Amino acid sequence: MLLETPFHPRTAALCRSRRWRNWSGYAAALSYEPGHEYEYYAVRSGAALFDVSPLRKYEVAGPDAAALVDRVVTRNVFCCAEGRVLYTPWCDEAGKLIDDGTVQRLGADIFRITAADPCLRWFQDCALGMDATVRDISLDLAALALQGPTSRDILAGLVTGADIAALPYFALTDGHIGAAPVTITRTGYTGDLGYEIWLSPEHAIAVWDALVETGRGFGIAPAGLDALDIARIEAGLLLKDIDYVSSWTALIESRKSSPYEAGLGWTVQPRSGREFVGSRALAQEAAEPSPWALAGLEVDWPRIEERFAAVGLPPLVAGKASRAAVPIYTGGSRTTGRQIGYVTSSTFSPILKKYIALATIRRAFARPGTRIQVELTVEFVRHRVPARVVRTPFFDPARRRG
Amino acid sequence: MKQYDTVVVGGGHNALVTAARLACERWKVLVLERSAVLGGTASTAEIFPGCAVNVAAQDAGLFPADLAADLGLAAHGLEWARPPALATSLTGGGEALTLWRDPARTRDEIARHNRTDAARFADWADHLRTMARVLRVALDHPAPAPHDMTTRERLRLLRPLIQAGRLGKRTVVELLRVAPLPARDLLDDWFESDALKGMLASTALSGSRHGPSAMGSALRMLYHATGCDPHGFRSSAFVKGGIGALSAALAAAARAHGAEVRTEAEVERILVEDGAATGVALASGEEIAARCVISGADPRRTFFRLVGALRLGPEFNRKVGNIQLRGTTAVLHLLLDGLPPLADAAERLAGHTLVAPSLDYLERAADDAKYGRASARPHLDMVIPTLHDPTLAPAGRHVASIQVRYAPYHLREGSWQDDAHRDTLLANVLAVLDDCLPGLRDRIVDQRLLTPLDLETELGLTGGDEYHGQMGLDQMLFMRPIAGWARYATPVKGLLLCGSGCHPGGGVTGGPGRLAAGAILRGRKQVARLTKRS
Repeated sequence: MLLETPFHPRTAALCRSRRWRNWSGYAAALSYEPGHEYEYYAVRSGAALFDVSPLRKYEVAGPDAAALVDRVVTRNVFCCAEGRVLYTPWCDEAGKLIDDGTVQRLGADIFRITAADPCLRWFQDCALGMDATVRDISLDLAALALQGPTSRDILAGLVTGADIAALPYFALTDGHIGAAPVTITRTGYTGDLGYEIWLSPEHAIAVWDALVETGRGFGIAPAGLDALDIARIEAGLLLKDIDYVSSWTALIESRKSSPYEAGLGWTVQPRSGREFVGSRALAQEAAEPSPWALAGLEVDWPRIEERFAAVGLPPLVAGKASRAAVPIYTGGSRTTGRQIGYVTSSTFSPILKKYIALATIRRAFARPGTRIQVELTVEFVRHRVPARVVRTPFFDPARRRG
Repeated sequence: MKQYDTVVVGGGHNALVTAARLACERWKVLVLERSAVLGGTASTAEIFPGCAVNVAAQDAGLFPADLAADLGLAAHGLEWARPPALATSLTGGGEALTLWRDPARTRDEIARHNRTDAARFADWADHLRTMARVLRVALDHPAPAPHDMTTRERLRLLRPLIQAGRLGKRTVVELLRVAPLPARDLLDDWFESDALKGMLASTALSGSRHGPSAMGSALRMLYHATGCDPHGFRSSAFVKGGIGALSAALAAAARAHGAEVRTEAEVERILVEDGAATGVALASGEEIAARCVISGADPRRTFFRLVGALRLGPEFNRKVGNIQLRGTTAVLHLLLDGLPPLADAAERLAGHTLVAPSLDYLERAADDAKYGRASARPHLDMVIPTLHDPTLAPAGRHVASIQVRYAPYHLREGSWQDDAHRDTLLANVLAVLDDCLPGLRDRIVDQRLLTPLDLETELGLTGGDEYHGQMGLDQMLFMRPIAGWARYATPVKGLLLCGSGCHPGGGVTGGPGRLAAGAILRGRKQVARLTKRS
């Protein structure tokens, strides 16, 4: 029996598709309508409302809170001012990814961390010898993501006690929606203009209703995970256990990834005089780079269409994102090409009209512009179609940061 | 600043063994002890005016004769006392059962209780001796590393395996059968008499919070028999001048080879730079540099207090945090103006005097500890050192030191800072003594109770655990102090452990100190060989 989030009375009534997925033990709608296209376009041209309550949330508090968070994550937390948010992964001692999430600095000595999976014991182990406490506040905090070009206008008209229009990218503010106190962060998992709203579960229904009511004139739509998946691939954002395997769940050593291997090298911020968990291993890896890297791929869409057309089919890969791992080969003939990696997530991008993918690939082939081939199975026959390494994010509107 | 090859943190007996061994190899060694007397758990201090009292440990029967000979301890004043009586069990109402070093005398004594048991006792003594001898092989060698079976490791295992094999395949198999047993099952197999079984099982209790019905308690019986001849009971030998004289002899041996030994020099921090130990900082502010640091403190104190958890990884810290450090023993020192009125008291009370009348009695005492209470009817293990060395106290006075089990460090309600808990424990002990040694109470001139909390504050034993980690199957051999780190090295380069928390384990055995020194010297030789080659 799946758990219900605080928004469940509303989401359940809206979910006409009856398509739910188990997200961290909670029932999460895959799409509300029978198809997810409308919800996807709400992200890119209106405002999509996601229930993201199943995220794990932790509160770190105490005089050493900053030092503790700094010890856990790869990014330098001392550079994170109060009222700011960081996206960061965290690693084990071997420098392999455990999980990733956002770190919100609510005050000098108080932080909130979001995580995909439970990390309480890990954070507490890291806290040994420090004057800081870690609390699991997953159940104390409901969360919504309002993502899309009109999200700012919706919140600006709704939130009191905060200047939403002036809230910078990756910043946070406290405010009220109606009578409900909320924390609003300008963050999200769509690569678009968007916000996440953190609140006590008791106000969940009131806040949902207020958002839907105010959002009516702004193209608001409740959206599910199918739409989110497409948007996050377009934004080049990783999904734990799909685009990288957590070192805690990896069955074999080679499945683990370092931040460098997962395209998160920019989050590794060595700080002089301070170590963080995994810093030594990562320093070593920085000196001797791993042969693996993350790359964005653009797959040649006309060639995909051709392959399907040859058997009399429309291109069946269009529509929704795929999490199936697919081999990648060097360019050249079918017989000489050797495997150099694998696609981890792929989707047809409705806004770019391109077939795009996130891939784990040999570093030598990860340079943008490199031509490679991706496997495509049509009617049980394997083919290879050409693809090109491109920079991520695939889609990056100016409004994301602006 | 003077540069030492190594600074040894703590002046406990293991630390002194390591220091002496390294000094013998011409290392420049400095030993730093926080208190004014050496020995730590194996120290003798003036607890009552004019009296030398063994603070915690009483018996050094596990200290190997070959190690004492190697270090020339006799020349440095070590003298053993092995009184004819091994142990006397007080079975209530002034009755007593004594085990003697002389097997014939023991047989006659047991025969007063149970003739069948008396007839079997010689076989039991043989059995215990043999089992202990096999176990001893494992304790004399570095712990195996089953998770890292390289060729070198396999070769290293050959010697102990051959040695154990010489003792007979059946003996080895029998050890594997017996070691995980509850002491109760093993003893029920051999004997009928409750008094005898209780007495023998008492050797299974120290180093654990579990009673004689717990799995693996038989192993502790064997462990305590791995020193000098156990005569069916446990390896028992006292040191003239108090157990501190052993530590003093070790220190003298170390000094004779050039080591410096400083007392009242408390190490506050082990200095670490770039993941490597570079020396120590004293509470006085003084900093001392050394090529390596060897800690005789227990593992948790070493890592969390002296190094600091922040210098270690969270995965390692979790394991250190999970080491079972659970003191369950309080020590009650009594100053007496005469021996209790027991027939042949001077002879019978010269060994261990036990209150362990039956297995059930011991189990009930342990039950209290299990639920976080001091035992209402505790198990007592009393030693009166003044019986084998009268110079320890003024004429006419005796000192009786009693190990009281169980007094768990963690109480369910309140803490040992509460005087009420101390008073209750003291009253419980005296009530038991009134039953077993009537008249002793009238002889008491002064008393001093050391709870596990006192042992922690005074001797630096985390959790008041005088074994630096419980002695059970789960915390022995390659799992001591934690799995994967049983070879004295630590994640901090140049920081090694040598205390009771390491293989082979707690008690006054010198074993960890000796093996740690061996590992350090071997490591040094390997480095020397490698550098010579390149």
